[in-house]
Amino acid sequence: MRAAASIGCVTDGELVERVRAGNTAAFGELVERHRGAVYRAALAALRNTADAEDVAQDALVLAFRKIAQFRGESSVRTWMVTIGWRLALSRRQNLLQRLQRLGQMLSIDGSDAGLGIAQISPAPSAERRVLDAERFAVVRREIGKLPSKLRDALLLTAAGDLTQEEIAATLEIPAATFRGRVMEARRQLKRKLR
Amino acid sequence: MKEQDLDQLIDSAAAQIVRREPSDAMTAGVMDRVNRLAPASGRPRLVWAGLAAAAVLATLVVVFHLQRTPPRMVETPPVAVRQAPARSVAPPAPAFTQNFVFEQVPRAQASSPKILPPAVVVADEQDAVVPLITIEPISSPPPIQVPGIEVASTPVEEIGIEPLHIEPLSASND
Repeated sequence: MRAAASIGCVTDGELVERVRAGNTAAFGELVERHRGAVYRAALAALRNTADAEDVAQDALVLAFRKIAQFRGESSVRTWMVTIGWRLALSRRQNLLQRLQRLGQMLSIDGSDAGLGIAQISPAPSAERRVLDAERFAVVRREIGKLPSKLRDALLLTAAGDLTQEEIAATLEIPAATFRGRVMEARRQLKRKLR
Repeated sequence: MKEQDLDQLIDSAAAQIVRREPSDAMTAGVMDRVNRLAPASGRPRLVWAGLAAAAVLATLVVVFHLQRTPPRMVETPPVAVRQAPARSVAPPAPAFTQNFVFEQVPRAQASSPKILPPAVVVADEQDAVVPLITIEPISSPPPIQVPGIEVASTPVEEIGIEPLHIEPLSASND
């Protein structure tokens, strides 16, 4: 109990050093801290909870294997999310190719059934209760119809795990380009929802 | 619908898609795989430690071998050497000549190489100091006395050759 408390106080950089020294428990703490961010980034790309969990697990294991290559140029969270994001994009590309080979008409820009998008019911909050359920579904569907570049930027922003600069670094684009994509995504959605 | 309401609607819908938490099974799966990888990841560290130890050992062997090797004896006449000007900003010092004589150094000193200042061997005859060498003229060697050799003469008898007489074919025994 005391050990768990002490490990909870150390910084990510110190945990990385401990992992490099062979302390797998320190990596467990890193997983606890950042697994949500990695998972949500994968979910933004895949919009399927099962696929996102698979990718997030692979990403975290890959991070453990490549921990020696972490140079500290970015935060540990950004580094792990970037690994997860790249794996998720690869998975998304594979899914698209597989579906195209099967001849199924997939609308990546289409309905929730496209990539097996999870049916997410609104959480019971005061804000969401006000919203009309039908209109809410329409918005989600319209988000799915956005071009992938715009949709990725919008959903990573909505995840709320990274700053704009960190998301831009993850997407490997300038921060201004990222902000432009988010604005363009909003503009297109508003035009369709009016 | 107002602009602000639309923004709120978009944000909420996007958040519903991605703001979820992974299951505990995912974390357990990660740690299970990590614990299986951990012993394997320790192996390269052992390999590197072994290689480092081997490198240190090899270095020690080479140093020990070099210490036991006798220093080379170099016998050369004194060579005129002019030291190269220093690379400092100070104005170049006037050139001077200095003779270095290579001598055999004791074994203990030979193991520690001395670092000499950079020097330039001057080929110019004006700066070179060449010791005078006296060359004696080559004298002709004294003649070699060889005792007389007596050769025994053997008399040759005269050979009497009779004239050859050839008989005609018809007078043969056939």
